[in-house]
Amino acid sequence: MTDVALSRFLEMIAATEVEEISCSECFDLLSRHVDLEIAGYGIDSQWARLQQHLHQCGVCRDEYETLKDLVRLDSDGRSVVPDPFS
Amino acid sequence: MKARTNAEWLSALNGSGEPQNVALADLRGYLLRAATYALRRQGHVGSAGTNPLAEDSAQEALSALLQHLHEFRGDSRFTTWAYKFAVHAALVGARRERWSLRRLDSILRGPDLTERLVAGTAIDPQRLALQGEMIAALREAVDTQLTTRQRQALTAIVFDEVPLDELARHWGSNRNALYKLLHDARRKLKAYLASRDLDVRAMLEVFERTDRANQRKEFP
Repeated sequence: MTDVALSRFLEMIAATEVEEISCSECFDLLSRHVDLEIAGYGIDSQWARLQQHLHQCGVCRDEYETLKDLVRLDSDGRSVVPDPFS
Repeated sequence: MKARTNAEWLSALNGSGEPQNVALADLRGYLLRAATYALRRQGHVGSAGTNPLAEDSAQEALSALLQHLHEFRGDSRFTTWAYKFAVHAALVGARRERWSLRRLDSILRGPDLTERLVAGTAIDPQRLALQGEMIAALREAVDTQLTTRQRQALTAIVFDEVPLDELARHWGSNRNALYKLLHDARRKLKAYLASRDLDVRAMLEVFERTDRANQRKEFP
């Protein structure tokens, strides 16, 4: 076993809350919070619950980070990928 | 593609005729762009030109989005809301492709969680002994608190880095149910360790400080 995996295991246990949102609830919150984060708005209770889920769930975290990068590129006016229709 | 406000997107998509067709074509363009970006970000390389997985993901995302269109609350930009369907479809598809060649059965038949919890690597004998005590407590927690399925899930996801949705699919379950199973397992472990007066953050510190100390010794 690697120490990295053990640390990850302990971190997951340490960061466990009695109430956590599900992956579906996380998906519902993604777009609002990506836009808020990019706009630099503050943290609310919903934000904390989302971050807690993302901390525990690698697949949801991947989706959040990908969406955030994509929207940030869009808002910077940079083309994400060549327009397939151009 | 024409830039639209949220209201204009909803009006066009819920409308009919040419404006609706144009909005649908534009939306599909956004989704394809998002799916392609998500796959490239993962290092997923399609064949030259278009990526079939991106095309499939965009189509799947469009279908899911239209089914949920009435749920759009307007608390984000419409395009951000739309993108998340494409990102989700693309990343699920990429994981499925990547893990289709791996034998999840053999991973799940591998060493049990308690066997994966082995003594630390501290050089200092006192710290090594402390780590040994902590590992013993963790093993006891796993042995006495968790079901077989919870142990398998934690081993696969934490130690073998199997994606949650792939394990859920393998078991004929879904992401929410598997997340709940893991959450229940983490809660039981945390409560058990607390009942033994063991603080998990302090345990983490013991192992992480050891890592840093060993690195300094190995790379002065």
